[in-house]
Amino acid sequence: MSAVGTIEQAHAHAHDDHGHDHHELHWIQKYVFSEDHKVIAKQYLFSGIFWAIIGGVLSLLFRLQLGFPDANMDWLQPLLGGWIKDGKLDPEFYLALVTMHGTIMVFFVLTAGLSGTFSNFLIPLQIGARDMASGFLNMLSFWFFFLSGVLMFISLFTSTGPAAGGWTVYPPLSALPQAIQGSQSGMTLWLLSMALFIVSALLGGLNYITTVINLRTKGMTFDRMPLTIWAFFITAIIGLLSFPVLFSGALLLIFDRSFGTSFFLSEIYIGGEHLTQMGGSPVLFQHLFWFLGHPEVYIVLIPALGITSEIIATCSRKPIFGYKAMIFSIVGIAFLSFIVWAHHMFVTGMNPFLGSIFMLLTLIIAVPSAVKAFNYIATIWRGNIVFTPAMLFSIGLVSFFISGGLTGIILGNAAADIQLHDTYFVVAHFHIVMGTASFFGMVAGVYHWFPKMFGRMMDETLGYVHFWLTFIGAYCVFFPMHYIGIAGFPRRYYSFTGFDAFSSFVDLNMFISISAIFTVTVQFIFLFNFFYSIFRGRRSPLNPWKSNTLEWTTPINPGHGNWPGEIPHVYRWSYDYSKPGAADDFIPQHIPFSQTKESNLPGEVDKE
Amino acid sequence: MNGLMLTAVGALILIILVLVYRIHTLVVVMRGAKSGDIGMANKVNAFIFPVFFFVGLALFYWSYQSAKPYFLPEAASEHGKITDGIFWEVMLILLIAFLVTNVLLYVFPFLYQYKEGKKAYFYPDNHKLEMVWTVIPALVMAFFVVFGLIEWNKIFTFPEESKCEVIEIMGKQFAWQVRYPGQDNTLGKYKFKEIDATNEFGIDLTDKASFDDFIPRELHIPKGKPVLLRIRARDVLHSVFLPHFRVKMDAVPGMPTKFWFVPTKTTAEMRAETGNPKFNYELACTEICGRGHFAMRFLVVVDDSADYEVWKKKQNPWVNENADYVRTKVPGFVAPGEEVKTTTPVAPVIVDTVNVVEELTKKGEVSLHINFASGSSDLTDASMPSVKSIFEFLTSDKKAKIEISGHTDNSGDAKKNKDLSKQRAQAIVDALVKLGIAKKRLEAKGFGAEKPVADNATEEGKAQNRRVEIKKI
Ligand code: HEM
Ligand SMILES: [Cu+2]
Ligand SMILES: [Cu+2]
Repeated sequence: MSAVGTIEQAHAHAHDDHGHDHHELHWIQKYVFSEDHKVIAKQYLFSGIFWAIIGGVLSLLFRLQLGFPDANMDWLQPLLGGWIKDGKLDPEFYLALVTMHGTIMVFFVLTAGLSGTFSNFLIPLQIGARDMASGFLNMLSFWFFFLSGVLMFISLFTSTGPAAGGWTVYPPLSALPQAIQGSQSGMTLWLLSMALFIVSALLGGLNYITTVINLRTKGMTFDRMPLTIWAFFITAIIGLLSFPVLFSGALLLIFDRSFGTSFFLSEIYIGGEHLTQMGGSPVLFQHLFWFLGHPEVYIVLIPALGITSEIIATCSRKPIFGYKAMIFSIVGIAFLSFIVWAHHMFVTGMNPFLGSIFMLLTLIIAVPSAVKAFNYIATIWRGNIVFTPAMLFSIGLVSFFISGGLTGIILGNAAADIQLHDTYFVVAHFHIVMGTASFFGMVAGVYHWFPKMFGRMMDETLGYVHFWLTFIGAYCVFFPMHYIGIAGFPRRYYSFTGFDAFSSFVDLNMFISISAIFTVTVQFIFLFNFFYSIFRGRRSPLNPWKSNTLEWTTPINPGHGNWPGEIPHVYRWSYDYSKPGAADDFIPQHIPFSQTKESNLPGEVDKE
Repeated sequence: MNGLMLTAVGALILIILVLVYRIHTLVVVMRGAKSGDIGMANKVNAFIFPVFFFVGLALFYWSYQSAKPYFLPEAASEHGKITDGIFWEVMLILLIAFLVTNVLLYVFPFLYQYKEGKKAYFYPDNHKLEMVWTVIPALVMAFFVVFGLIEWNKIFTFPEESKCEVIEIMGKQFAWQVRYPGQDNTLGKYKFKEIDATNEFGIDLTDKASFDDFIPRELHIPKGKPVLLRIRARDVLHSVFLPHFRVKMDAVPGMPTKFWFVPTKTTAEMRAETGNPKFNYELACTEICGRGHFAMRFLVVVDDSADYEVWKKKQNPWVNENADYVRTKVPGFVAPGEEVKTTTPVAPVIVDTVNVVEELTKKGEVSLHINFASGSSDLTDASMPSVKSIFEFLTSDKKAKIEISGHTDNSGDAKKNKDLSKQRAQAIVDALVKLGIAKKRLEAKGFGAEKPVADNATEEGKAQNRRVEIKKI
């Protein structure tokens, strides 16, 4: 313990001396067009929160329609204007809401808000680097994302409405302005916005990868890297390989929409007209889309898994169980994620033989996923668990990961998927495994690294309340959707009353909607806690969770360059918690073995 | 609605209370009292985990039991029973995995919660254990794959067409249509270019096999015989979903797809089984296709084979129902039992040659002879180019507002003429709105025969008078 203390003090001291010869940056460079990874991370975080609110409110609007189909919605007129007619929500606008909700949640909240925030914040801090490989590209990456958000936001207010063909924007619906109003200017904006988003994701990803490869501090070998960094690293690689494919899909769609090409269009008769475009294939777009779309679900999930690995180990005061297996399973999942995309297309008319192959590959993915779940459970076994809010949310994540992962195995079964495809069973599945799980990982990360971001602590009791209400609420929203799906209810339906087969479950749908309103509302506890604590929270100690990773060796409010003095060297992995013989229940990564003779295992010597 | 408002308000009040309380305590904390110790809260959280799980499990069971009566009745097709079987068997095996992992996940937090002075067990790995929990899931998955694939391949091994009832099903915004091959058991060819407002399938009338095809308003299928659906779409993607038969297959423009199944219960049998005399099989759309996606319902009837044959006999081939149309493609065609009409005088039709966009931009008004089905306000296909050109003008001049007024000749009742002309103007407005023009830019008026521009005494003059005037306002 004493060793840790002195080093920290030395750093804090060095910082003081250092402060004077730092030239002052203009505030615009410091807070707006900043190249500092910590500032950029916060920019991503605030944007992510902004978009999460929008995405959540959109979901409430369409949940109102589903839960209370007979209600008069005139009171929403001030907000929605002409989209409410005679007290009813316009069916096309319903689809627009669903589409925007999905797009915003997947890309803006859980890709940019989650990966953008924590990759930026943690990579340099945890590998011992002064900043990202290229601060400038990093800044560009954020501002491309920002612009992309501006376009998407504007599209919400166009007179013909935002894109409305589902977040998967399948053509021909998305290609033909006469097919649905959302495919007019709304869709154009959607495509432009996504193009910018992809540029942002690529710039960011390149940076994460180069930084992890090149800028690790001395001693930070790959097999000592915290699992967070492994997760961000692999995620960035997945993004780099898959986003360009979506880009090409989007580009070809732009051509089809605006320049009369026919990549995705053939034999279309609409509005009393024969279109001249012939020979394209709508199924081609689906392949291009899901070649990103499936890896994308891992792009949102893997960082969350990395974050929780770190938190669960720290708060259980135990090494993560099976560190190597955790790495192999991330790598395995990442690899497999590229060759399972067509499980979204079992009944699109794709060759059934392809269906068999994709079913086989899909079920293989369950194996590394199962390993991760077991390893989490083994990590908390015989731990000495401290339930910080971050830990609660991490356990919540594991719970959702298991519940949602299991239903994935059913859906991956091509024969069973014939009935379940595009029903609420799918909606239940992906909200639990990808939506809620990743969301929990993100919130866990905020609670855990808040002290490092803002130098203050968030209130724990509010955190507990927030967790339990959200946890219960999320299960109440998404669990019953399985039943509705088993009963065959199709997704993206404005109303179910037209069918005898789908006219049941009126009460259940109402229950889901009420739960959704409740769950979204309790997020204000978090928002309050977050913003209040930024200004008024208790001051954070240097290492509030007694964690091993390098970020806790920086000053409480790390300046530009992160460490005022020399960057600490690394001598061990980041999971030496509760090591037998050690005085304390944690030994940070920068403590050499020479100082911990009493707890070294055979073979643990400093190699210089 | 009230319930909703109450809940929302209730939740808000609760939150405000919590917040006020916390602001108070936070202020206390800010004043210096620090509580970093791990105390009561940790115990409470540790305790809630197992409670949450066991209460949750009970609710799971209860909710499942209450939801079960609303699930779909037992599958009404041969393969459906098998896929349902796969679904529930896999579910059962997974339920075991679910219970085992969750018991551990929720009980461990309670058992291994923080205790002062305790040290966690340093246990970084155990290769044997990891091997076990890699291999077991792998074996289970292999089992799923093998059995799943056997069934999947059976479902997609198509029987010989001659042994099936082949039925074509076509999706369009926003309805389904079905076509039967008729007596010769051969569906006539179709051509994309032949599609128009009457010939919705694009039936190729040079193919003799088309002449007995019929297009009923319900989908009838026989019990106990393989049914092969030939599926296509005309505008955007749709998806054929027959929930009771566990059938689903996308309808793709330009790429016909197919699916086959054997119905096992007639509608009557299903009515008896469900105890619901109003029970009906239904066809729905499960691929997002636009505004009316949720309303693409089509009635499905399963007959026993005798009834089915009787029903088929009663159907009238499409060509017979549309003899006038068919004659435009096949001169001299006569439907059985049809009285051959001798040259009905055809009213002259004026084809507009003006450039609408130019005319409107320069003069601010134009007169068009837009075609409607006679006596109705339905736009015909022939009139679409004119509507398009108005649309073009409105997109070229984003600010322009226009008045669309309908006019008729003087034949018939004046009041009716006026109403009809108003409806026709309104039909054009609607068509433009559908294309995306804001309603507030369009105004529809009807003048009947009040404002003739030519002499109503001649057929030529009458044709001149049947017109639509577009005026910038
Ligand atoms: C309170 C929170 C949420 C609620 C109540 C909610 C509810 C829903 C519902 C009911 C649908 C289906 C609508 C339909 O098919 O008609 C839907 C679609 C979707 N949601 Fe959520 N959701 C929530 C949060 C999230 C999150 C966190 C994600 C992040 C992954 C997400 C991603 C999606 C996606 C991708 C779709 C599909 C959109 C589409 O069909 O194009 N949702 N949501
Ligand atoms: Cu996938
Ligand atoms: Cu449809």
